Amino acid sequence: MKEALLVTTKRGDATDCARLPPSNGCSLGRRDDSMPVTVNVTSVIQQAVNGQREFKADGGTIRELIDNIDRDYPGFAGRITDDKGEMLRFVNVYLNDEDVRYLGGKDTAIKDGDTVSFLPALAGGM
Amino acid sequence: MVEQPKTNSAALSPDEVMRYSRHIIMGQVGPQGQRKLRAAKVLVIGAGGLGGPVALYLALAGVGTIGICEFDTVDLSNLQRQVLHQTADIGRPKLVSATEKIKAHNPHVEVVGHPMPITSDNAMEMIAGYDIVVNGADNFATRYLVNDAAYLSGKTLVDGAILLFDGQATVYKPGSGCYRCLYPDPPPPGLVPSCAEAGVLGAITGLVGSIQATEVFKQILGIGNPLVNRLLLIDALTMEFRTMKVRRDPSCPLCGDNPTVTELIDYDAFCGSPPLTLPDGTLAAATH
Ligand SMILES: [Zn+2]
Repeated sequence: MKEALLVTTKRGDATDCARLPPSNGCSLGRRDDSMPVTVNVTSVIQQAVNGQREFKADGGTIRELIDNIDRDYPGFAGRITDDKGEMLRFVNVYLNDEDVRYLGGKDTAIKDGDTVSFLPALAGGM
Repeated sequence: MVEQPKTNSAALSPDEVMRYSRHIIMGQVGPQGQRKLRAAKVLVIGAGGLGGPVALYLALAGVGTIGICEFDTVDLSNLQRQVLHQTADIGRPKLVSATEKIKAHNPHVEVVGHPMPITSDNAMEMIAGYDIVVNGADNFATRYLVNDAAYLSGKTLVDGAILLFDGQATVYKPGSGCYRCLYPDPPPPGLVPSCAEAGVLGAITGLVGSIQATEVFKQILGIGNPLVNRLLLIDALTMEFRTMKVRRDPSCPLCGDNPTVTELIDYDAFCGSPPLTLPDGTLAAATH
């Protein structure tokens, strides 16, 4: 059963499937909790995703991931990128433990099981 | 003025041997390491949430000269987290309060007070007398200033930051990346709240401050694997610790291959103006 589920969670169908009610028979009940990428956010960006620290999302690249999250949580992309879609220089995006600026930026490919973290600069000390 | 340190070679007194015995007994420290600690000079920026526990643990460990840069006075709202200050200190200068507590804990250490904000005008001179700088600042302008001044002075910077239930810590060694490599531009004013605006868990100041003090200790003794090129992230709610890679950015304006920041700049302007291109094409953040 697990094998069958994996076959149907190929990226591509997955995003669309996840947005349909389970009742339509799409993907053996694929839901948000089977999305392949773990997303971590801290304090300030947390506000843009209903206060969650960690959630699942889908996307083949950082750009797709941000777009997909923004569809679920309008305004999310605006916390990560500027008007022109460029990544803000005071928010770091990590694929696992590597800053995506040293990988492929927004075009960095993501695979199942990866963790993407969005970390804005913190200044508190007092 | 930084006082002349006791020489590295002077023997430890019987009181010192007993006081530091739990350190000295460890092979990584020993009497020689304890003398290194005594000869060390560390500047702590701020005597509040982070600076307090850092200065306290450095003093307890016998770090011989502890500089503290602090101009604020103790406020009732500080006492939820700032371990060096007590109820009777409300309204007193934090520097005076901190110095008293540190000396009461360990009369062997020298506390050098810098009762003014660190600025572009005084930072290089202030830092020059120390081996290591510890950041406990509470705003972006000071963080960029301390980063630049430490790098330009060739000093190691032990950095930490806190907000809400989050903590971060890392160590910047000149040539191994800096705060500008990690965050090239500050956020526009108001976008990232301060602890005063958003709140901070009191105990996380102790958590991050202890980590900073530990990294200073390791730097002085030359032991272990320092938190260089790694950013430690602490989430107090899940109590998960993660580390992210920190790299030296070849395009960093300070420590990159072709630096444009070669002296201290106007950091209020740098952090006060949104890092955007102005209508006339100049960079708002880079012109000062
Ligand atoms: Zn740098």
